[in-house]
Order: sequence, then structure tokens, then C-alpha cells
Amino acid sequence: MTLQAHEVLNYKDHLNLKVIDGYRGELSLSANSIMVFPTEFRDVQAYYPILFRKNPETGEFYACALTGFEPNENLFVSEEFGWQCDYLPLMARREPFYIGFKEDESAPQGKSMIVTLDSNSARLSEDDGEDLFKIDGSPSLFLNDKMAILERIHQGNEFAEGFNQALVENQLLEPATIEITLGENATSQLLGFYVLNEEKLIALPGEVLNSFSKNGYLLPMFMLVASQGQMRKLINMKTEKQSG
Amino acid sequence: MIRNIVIVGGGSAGWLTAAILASRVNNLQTGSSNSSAAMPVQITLIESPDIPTVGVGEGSWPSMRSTLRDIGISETEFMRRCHATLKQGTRFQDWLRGQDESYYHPFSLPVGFNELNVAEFFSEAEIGAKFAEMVCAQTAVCEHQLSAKTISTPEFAFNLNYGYHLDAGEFVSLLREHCVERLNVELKSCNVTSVEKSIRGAIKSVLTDSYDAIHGDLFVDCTGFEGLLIRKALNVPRRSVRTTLFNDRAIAAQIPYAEDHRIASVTNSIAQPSGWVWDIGLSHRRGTGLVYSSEFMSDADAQAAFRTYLVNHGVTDQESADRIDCRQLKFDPGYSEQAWYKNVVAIGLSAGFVEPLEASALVLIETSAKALASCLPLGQESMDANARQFNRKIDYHWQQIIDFLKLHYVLSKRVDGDYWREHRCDSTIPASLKELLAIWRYRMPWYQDAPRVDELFSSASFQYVLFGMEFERPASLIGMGTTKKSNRAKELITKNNIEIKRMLSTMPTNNELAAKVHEYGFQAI
Repeated sequence: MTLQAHEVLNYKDHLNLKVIDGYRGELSLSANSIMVFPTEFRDVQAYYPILFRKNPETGEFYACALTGFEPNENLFVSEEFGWQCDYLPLMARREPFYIGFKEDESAPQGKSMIVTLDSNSARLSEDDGEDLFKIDGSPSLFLNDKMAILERIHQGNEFAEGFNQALVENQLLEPATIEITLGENATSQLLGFYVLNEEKLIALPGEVLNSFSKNGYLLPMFMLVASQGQMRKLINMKTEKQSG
Repeated sequence: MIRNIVIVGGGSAGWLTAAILASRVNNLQTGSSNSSAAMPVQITLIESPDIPTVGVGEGSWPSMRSTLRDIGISETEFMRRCHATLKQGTRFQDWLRGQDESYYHPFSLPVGFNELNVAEFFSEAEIGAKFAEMVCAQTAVCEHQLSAKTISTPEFAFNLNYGYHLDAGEFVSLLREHCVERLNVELKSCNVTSVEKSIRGAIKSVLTDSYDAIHGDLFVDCTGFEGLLIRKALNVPRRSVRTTLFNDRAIAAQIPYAEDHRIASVTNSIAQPSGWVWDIGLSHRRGTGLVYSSEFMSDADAQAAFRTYLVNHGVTDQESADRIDCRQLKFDPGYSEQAWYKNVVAIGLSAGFVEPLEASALVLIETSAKALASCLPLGQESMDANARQFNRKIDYHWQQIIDFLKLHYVLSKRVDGDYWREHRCDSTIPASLKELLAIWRYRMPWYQDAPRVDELFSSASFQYVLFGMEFERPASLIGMGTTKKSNRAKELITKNNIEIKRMLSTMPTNNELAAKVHEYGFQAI
């Protein structure tokens, strides 16, 4: 993996730069899980099981959509067709753009959001892909779309902080043992994942559920529960891929 | 039925005992379905506002993890409050010849220890200090100042077995707060002035300078070297071990880190001509000191030797070494003939103290307090039977501690002073240790040499020391066994080499982990 190198996106430096979107060909490489936010759980749960992992740098939990069983397996992606699903998580649509902050006294928290770009990303090109700016220097539709995604990631991230804390404080997460039998002798074991304990959620005292409801946590929690049904589908995708 | 337990003394021993007993009592009470059968036992702790704690017990064994979990203190809170770091064992320097050689005694067992005694296949004299490295990945981790876990490892869980280095003063204040606020321990801040005995010779109550007589059914003596109840009031004699373990003095100092310090993974123990130096790395400072024998070194010489050590080992420069404030401690190595007598149980220094080698003080407090807690519920008429059972256990631990500590000295080949020569003198070696050495001359220590489930030091600990100190066995006995077994031993060594590489690439440094504990803390799962 090449190191990321972030630079602030601007018209002057990046007028002629193009970005290749999607997951076809060389860009089909992926991991077996991708971070998702409670604010998108409703869409995510329709296609992916939602689990939790720990950020190795901080030990803190984050939600992720499971996309495969081997370390670098994304069963939704193929070299030929890219990422095939009616919903792609926000984090799958943001590349190669990132959120940065700059000091800004006029902004509410003394800083405002800026867009940065990983200048080592394989998505950057001079010939292929989408333009980032129009001739007059205003952002292209493509870039506007990406900026909207970054904004939603930012909001999702802020919401996730309180949401994850509520899960931890009420001891609703538990380590998951996920062992999948694939065919005769092949098993695949997923390590380092955590799931929501349904029974504990239902048994929470009224006042806790009430505060969850007020904070908007209840709906995403039940979306989490519902998403577990997608595990079966993901296993089917894996078996089909193996036999096909 | 015992309903009032009074702990006298509020150092590490008093507050740890209070926390362990109170947790047990609370479990018994909430565990009882019949509320009328619930047993209200009140734990009271008398702490003197005037007597300072000794506060140099800064090394724990891995047992402290389960102790903290059982008493309900989170690992994150503990590590932040007590500036704690993870201790993965001890590194002994200069113990063998005093020529800058060293070996490790890691907390993790040798690879495959539950299936095969890998040590059998190697010669101590040939492998020596390399043994710990060959059979235990933790050794390499310690050598590189890496941590025993990552920030995403759940609290109290480990990638490599560990205990703690901790600030004893802060530990006492955390325990006090926890006991009083969350465990329902009653704190009485006052000085005990006298002791009132019953006709049968047990303690009835203690009189203090600010309360009426404080009555108790059972008293725990945590008054330190003073032994106010067990020794002064009940006259239980002490058994001196001075003829075996000579050390009876220590000087201790807290020393700030240099700016680019690297926190060590182990307690460093560096042998000196008439004693040894401990060096413990907390997250914010070092705790270091010299333990020695007054018979072989004067206090003034010890002060000078300690300051020389500080300069020679790059701990401080000469100028700061001269200015460092040292505390002087005196102790009489030995232990109470009975730790539990009548209705008094001695825990901590009042029960005994030998020397800080292998950090046996805190672990013995935990062990004693847990053993006492497991005697509850306790009836008056079963007191003596419980006392006998308890004393057999504690006695056994003392014997083992003394043998194990003496082993470090007996195997030394240092020739630079009377202290080391005298330590090897036959008359100073306990018969029990001589027996073990005779056995180990032919075969390596194994489970039968440390047979109890509650053993403080496993047979692996003895193996690490025997190899580190190049104990000699007849060459003809080494590498015996079937080919199948020796092949398995080779496989295990290879497995350990792979584990070393994996650990060196995944474990953070102690400094990195300390920063992350401060910023994020551990998750409970």
C-alpha cells in the first residue's frame, strides 16, 4: 500500500486533474469490511451485515459493513463490473477525497471543513475519469457530489460518537465468533468483530430506552439487529463464487 | 457468626484487604436469595492520619489483574491514577558474574509448557541466558521495550502475560476512595492507643484517640513492621530468616525521567557487591533503590554505592545524583510464626517481609486477603480450624518464597565480596532448597516441584533462574528422551521464533501504550 499524501483541493493546482470513480479493473482491490455510520444504517442493512470492529490506533469501536470473509475479500466487487450493489456505503464513495479542517474564527467551533486529496491515489489521472472543475473554476457536478458525500460522512461521524458511546456504556456489544463452513472441509473464521446483543437491548430499563429514542439511537439500533439477516446472503455469495 | 471485621492500618495491605473482603461480603449478600439469610458483615478500617505508609511496593505479579477486576476497579482508571505500566517480568543483571551479563525471568511460560518440558533438551551451562529467549517470545518483546498488549486488547486481557509497576501512594488513595465510596467500607481516621483483650486472650476492641472503643469479631493487623496486634498485643513470635537472606536495609528514591526516556517492560534488578539495585519504570518517573545487608555494608557506603550506580547506569548525572533525596528503610527479614492467631490475622509487613526480590510483597497481600475472604462466612467456633488451614497455606508460601529468593544467590559465581561468598555457604541454605537442587542436578523442574494450584512461583520460574544462572548438570543427562519428543521440542522452538517476529511487528512500545491509555483507555470487551 502506498502512503497517503494529502493536499488541499484547489482550482489552481487541480484544474486538469481527473478522477476515476468506481471499483473496476485495478481499482477492484478492497478490504472485507468498510466503515459505515448510524445515519446510513437504514440503507446499509438492506444489503450488508453490520458489525463492529476496533480502531487499532485507539481501541475505540466503529460500525462496519461486512463484505467478505477473507482479509481482502469484497464479494460485491468484481474486476469486470466493479462494486455491484444498489447501495454503496458513504466511505466507499468518497475516494480519493478526505475531510480536513482549517482554522476559521468565523466558524462555530473555530475551524471549518476543507476538502483534501490523496495525491498518491491510483484514482488520479490526467487522461481518464471525471473532471473536478469546470472551465470557470467552479466545482463540477461530480465534485459537488463528492463534497456532499464528505459532508454526510462528517455528520455521520459526529452522530456515531454518541451512538457508539451509548452502546459501550450500556454494554450492548459482545465479541462475535463467526465461523463459516464453506463446502466439505473449508471453514473461515472472522476475528476481531463485535455484534449487538439483542437480548440486552430489549432488556434495557425504560429510562435508557427513552433516552435512546430522544437521541435518535433506537432506529439505528434496530437496523443493526435487522442487518444480521444479510449474513446468510453473504455466505451464499461466497459459496456461489467458489462453485462458479 | 463473624459480623464485624476491623482492619487496623491503611497502607497497601490494609486497603487491598478491605477491598477484597468487602467484595466478597457484597457478593455473598447479593448472591443470597433469602434476604433474612443475608449476612450483614461490616468492614471497618482504622487509618492513622499521622503514620505515613511505607509506599515502596511498586511491582505486582499478574495476579493483580484478577484482583482489580474482582474488586471492581477498571484497568484504565487504575493505570491513569497510579501511573501504572505493564510489567512483564524481571531482568537480572550482574547476578551471575558481575561482568555486565543479564538474563530474563518473563511472566509467560515456556512455549508448549503444558505438553512438554522443553528445558530438558538443553544444557543450562551452554544455553544460559538464551533459554528465556528461545522458549518465550516475551523476552524479545521486553528487550525492545515493547508492551504486553495493544490499545484494542480488552481491559485485563493480554497478548503476553503481565502484572504492573505502580505508584504505591496513588494506589492507596485509589483503593481508599473505591472502598469507601463503592464498597461500603467504613473508614475511621484515628490513632490506636491501646488494645483490650478478652479473658480468652483474643482481641475484644481497640481504643483510639478519637472514637470510643472499636469492637470487632475479627481483626486484621495491617500495621506494617509495627505488628501492633499480632506481635505487640498477642506476642506471636517472628521467625527470622536473616541467616538465609541477609538483606535488612534499603534506600529508595523517586527519580524523574530524562526527556527521551523509554519505559522498560520489566523490573531491572542489578546485583551489587553487597546487595542489589531495583529499577522500576512508571509512566511518569522511575522508582529505584538499593537493598543491602548492614552486616556487609555501612549505610554511608550504601548511599555512595547507590549514587555511583545512578551515574554509571546513566540514570542521572553526578550533580543530580548528589542532590537526590533518598529514603532509608530498615527491616528484619522474617515472618510471623502464625499469621492468624486467635482472632487476629496479620497481612502485609506485619505478617512478614524478606526483601523486594521477585516482588513477593503485594502478591502475598493479595493471596492472604483472598484466602481470608474465602473463609467467609465464618463462625466463632470454626475460627481456630480456619486459622490452622490459613497458616498452613501462608507458611507454605513463605517457604517457597525463601527457597526461590535464595536460589538467585546460591547459583551466583560472583567472587567480588564476602556477601556473595557467604550466600553460597552451605550453612545458609535451607534444607528444602538443598533437596530441590539435588533433584534438579538430574532433571529440570517440572510440575511436581511446584505442585499446588495456588503456587506463587511455578516450576517455569525456577527454570528461568536455573538457566539464567547457568546451573550445571552432568552433560550425559541432557537431550535424553525419545526422538519424537526432541523433534517436538525443535518444533516448539521454531514456533516460538515465528511468534517473536509476529510480536515484534505488532506490539506498540510501552511509551506509545501509556500515551494511548491516557487518551483513549481500554474497552471492557
